[in-house]
Amino acid sequence: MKYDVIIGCEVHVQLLTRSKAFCSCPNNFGGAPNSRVCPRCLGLPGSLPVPNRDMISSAIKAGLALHCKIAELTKFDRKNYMYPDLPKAYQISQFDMPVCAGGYLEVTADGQSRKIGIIRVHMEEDAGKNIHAQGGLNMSYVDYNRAGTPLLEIVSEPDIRSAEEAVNYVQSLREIMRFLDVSDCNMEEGSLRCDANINLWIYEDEKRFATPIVEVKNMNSFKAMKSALEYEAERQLDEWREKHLTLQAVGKTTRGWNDDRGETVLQRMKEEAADYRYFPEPDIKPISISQNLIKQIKQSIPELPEQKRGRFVQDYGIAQEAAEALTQSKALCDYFEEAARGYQEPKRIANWILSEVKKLLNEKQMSIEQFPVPARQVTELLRIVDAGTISGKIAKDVFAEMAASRKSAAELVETKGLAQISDTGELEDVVEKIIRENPSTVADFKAGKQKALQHLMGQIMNATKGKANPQVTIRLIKAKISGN
Amino acid sequence: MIDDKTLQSVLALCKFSLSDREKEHFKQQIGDILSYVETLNQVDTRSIDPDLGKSLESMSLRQDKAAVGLPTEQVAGLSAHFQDSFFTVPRIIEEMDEITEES
Amino acid sequence: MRDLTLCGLKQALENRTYTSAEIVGAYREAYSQDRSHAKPLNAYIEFFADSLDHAREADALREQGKGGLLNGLPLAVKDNIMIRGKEATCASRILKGFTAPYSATVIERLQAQGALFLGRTNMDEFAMGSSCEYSCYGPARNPVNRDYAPGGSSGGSACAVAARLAPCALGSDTGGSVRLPASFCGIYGLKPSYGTLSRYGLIAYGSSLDQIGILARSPEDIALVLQAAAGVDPKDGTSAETAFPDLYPLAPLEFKGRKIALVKEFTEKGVDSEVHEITKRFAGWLKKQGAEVVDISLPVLHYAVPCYYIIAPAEASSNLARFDGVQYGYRDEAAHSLEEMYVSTRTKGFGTEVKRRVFIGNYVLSSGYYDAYYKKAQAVRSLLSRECQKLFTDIDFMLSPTAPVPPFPLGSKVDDPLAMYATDMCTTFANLTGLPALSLPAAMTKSGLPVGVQLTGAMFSERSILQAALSWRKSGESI
Ligand SMILES: [Mg+2]
Ligand SMILES: [Zn+2]
Repeated sequence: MKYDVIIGCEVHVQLLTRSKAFCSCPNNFGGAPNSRVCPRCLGLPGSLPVPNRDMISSAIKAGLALHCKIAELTKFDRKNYMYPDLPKAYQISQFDMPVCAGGYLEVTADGQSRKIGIIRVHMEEDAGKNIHAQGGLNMSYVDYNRAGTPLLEIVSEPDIRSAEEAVNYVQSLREIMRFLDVSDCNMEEGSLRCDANINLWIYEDEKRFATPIVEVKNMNSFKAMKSALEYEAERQLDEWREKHLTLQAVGKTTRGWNDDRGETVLQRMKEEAADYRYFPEPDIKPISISQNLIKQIKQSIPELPEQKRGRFVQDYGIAQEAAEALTQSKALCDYFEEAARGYQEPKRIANWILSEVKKLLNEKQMSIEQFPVPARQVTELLRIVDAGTISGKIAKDVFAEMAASRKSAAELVETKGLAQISDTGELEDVVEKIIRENPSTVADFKAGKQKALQHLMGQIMNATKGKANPQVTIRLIKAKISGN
Repeated sequence: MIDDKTLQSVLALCKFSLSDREKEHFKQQIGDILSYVETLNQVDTRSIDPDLGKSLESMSLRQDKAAVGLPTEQVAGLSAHFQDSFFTVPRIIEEMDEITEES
Repeated sequence: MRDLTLCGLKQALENRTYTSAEIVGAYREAYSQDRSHAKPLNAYIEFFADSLDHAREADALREQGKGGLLNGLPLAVKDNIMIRGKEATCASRILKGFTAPYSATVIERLQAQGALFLGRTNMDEFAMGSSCEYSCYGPARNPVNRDYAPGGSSGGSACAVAARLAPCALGSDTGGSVRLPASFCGIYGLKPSYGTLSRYGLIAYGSSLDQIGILARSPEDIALVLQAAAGVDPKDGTSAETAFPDLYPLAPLEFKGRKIALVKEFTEKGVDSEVHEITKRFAGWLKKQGAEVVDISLPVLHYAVPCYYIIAPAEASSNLARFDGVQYGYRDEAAHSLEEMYVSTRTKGFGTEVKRRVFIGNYVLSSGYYDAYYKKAQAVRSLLSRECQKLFTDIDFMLSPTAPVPPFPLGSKVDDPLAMYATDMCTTFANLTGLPALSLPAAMTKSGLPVGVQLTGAMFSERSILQAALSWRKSGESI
């Protein structure tokens, strides 16, 4: 059976402003429950919302990076529903005049790059958190610290065609938000949350049938997202085979991903769909956005990952995969570019960062911003290797030592006496001694066994504590054996 | 007069209930009020831009500066149902009940 | 002493004729005396026990030669304006016991000028009503005739001022709630332009219509309080930049060259003949002062009340949704589930008129009805604003009755919502358009009940409206 998977994503990202969306409470993560609340975000009677200027500029920034049109006039609306985590019993959101609309995001999946349409980007406030009591207590607990946190809701067109593409879409989105410094997009902490609408287009009897749309919720990691959407596509295909249900007949339902069971669970049928009674928020006047402001914000947008990747491949001659790995964060890009500055082989810098730096970051569980070795030290170290002063292998140990001691490469090589022995006179004695002590290996070598050379090298390295310059040593071994 | 189905569905949004006697009274009164406000249909509003006019005054915004909010004692003082720094409510029943945190 | 106006008391304090403690003591005495009356006025929900302490503090400040514009002057405050540490209940069971953790901006500004507060005044629950009968504390009475309603919703405030239980009071006006009781009780009541006074700390009914208003026995008193309280508030993004720094002392208005419109829509159908006659007489007085009075017609004004009874309930349904028993206020303890808690808390917590309006609001906003009701009402509102704006480029004031009827007996309209809504006929348009409007005591009916007339001006024309009212008061024809 021929069919297409149709996916659209609704992503919520928390903005990294200092204060909340409509009040001055600090916008942080964590802290004692109900410790960052005030009359406004608690929805106390008489309190009024006043929008945060930076929330609006962040929204515009994000919109511009997603190639959206920015509204000249935007307004807030109330989305009404009663739930314990929603202090005012309405969420201040945007309904029919979102701040940004009509953009796209370029996403690569299966080696193919496609444009995923962005319907809209709008601002809204987050709710608090309901925590359900464990152990049969007939109670739930509510913490309003998160209530009023500024969010962007980013809604894509149903342009996504696979679970993999959906994951890549959200990852690219995260990348951009991080580059813009608009959100840290941490799925585990909930600063990025994604719901997806998914159905299938089934081609049968030269007709196209749409299966009922399912909104999948509760995908709390990229792994969960991929499994959930793959599962849901399979489930819908099975359901189609069994019941031939169409979108027209059933409409939209909501299902939650259960990670433990590895399946989606029905949460809400269409007829229970809530009536949110949206209407313009009377406490906040419409906001006009000047061309001047848009221009200013545009100028503050840094080079984005997509552009950076192209430039890295073009200007530094590094591979596409390496460029992708480097552009995962702006700080990593900056680190690379600083290290590569004035170095003739940027590729080697890229490799060093992607292997050695990444390895240490993983070991130490730190981010590149916290990494103690300055970028220029990577360059210095590679220059020492290039000069033949130390081997590439020793350089790796030196680098680990640099990260631990914060000493410079030159200093470590000097104080630890790590410089290679390239002096032929000094090496000659050792080589002669080893050849003398290993006649059978020498015989093997003469018989053309390559392994024999490695064995001899190993002995020499042992004797010199790894400081023998490998090129010089090989030359000497060959000369001595054939000379004899 | 509004019908029972409408009465029920709007009451569900209101989150309050009415006694049977109140319901009959309400259906009549609300019906009368609605017919009264429907006189607005006599007004020709075609000349009014359905969207907001651009001449509207713009909202004054707030600088992104953080400040401390209500001290915990005051937050706690708002409700008799404040326990271990949390507001408490009767258990929220959800179909995905095994999930311990809402997001 | 209680016959003095607020400005009169200010003089008396400055001349050391009285101390603030003596003044507050006198009001307290009058309040407790009225409580033992066979038909108590029920103007106050609570008379603050600490008001005398604040009076003594003000007196001490005065001794040191300190104190602001309102030092030691007492005001009564409607029960929907928050004073830190005091209860604020909107005369609703659902907020009984709720103590305000912060003060309204207007309260803070008045306190900064040395004002003190006598108590919280009675009102229609959540300011929804025109008679002050929809209160969980029982109705307030009209001091002119205790069997009559004082008007609403700020009925307790009007009653307190008219009965000389306070020299001045704050109220709130969403559809006429300051002007109507002022008219019924024979005093002055101003609804300022939308944005003149910060709404921060005023418990919302209809956010796009609500304004704190001032009730007093003299326009000068209103000017004094307005001057202290007005000005932009960063806590209320809808507050206006306009301030009135030198309103007090207030000068009378020169009427020559002023054009005043008498609107046909508010003088004909639905208006009591005696009220109509009194309005005409007032127009005659204006002419005598040298003003030009013109008759005009603005048909869209007919639709102000239906428009109001869509928009106000819509906003109210959302504003009052937060009263669900979760974080503050009343909660039905017996409820076992969340849904049950919501429903039984709100069923027991709200009175009938609040339920009616919340119902209407949810109805007009719900899917399928939004366009036909809410959107249509917004369009009519825009049209109304446009027409009024046009009108006020040509005229200085609009003159109308404040209410189409004289005060009515208690209980006569309580179960007839449409009859009750009809009393807002002349007042709601000012809330829908944001225009400032003032009710001034014009005359008594033959049966001895007060009737007010309303002057409406262009946006932020509070000064000239108050000046016109002062001229009227000084003419000695005022009741
Ligand atoms: Mg949303
Ligand atoms: Zn807050």
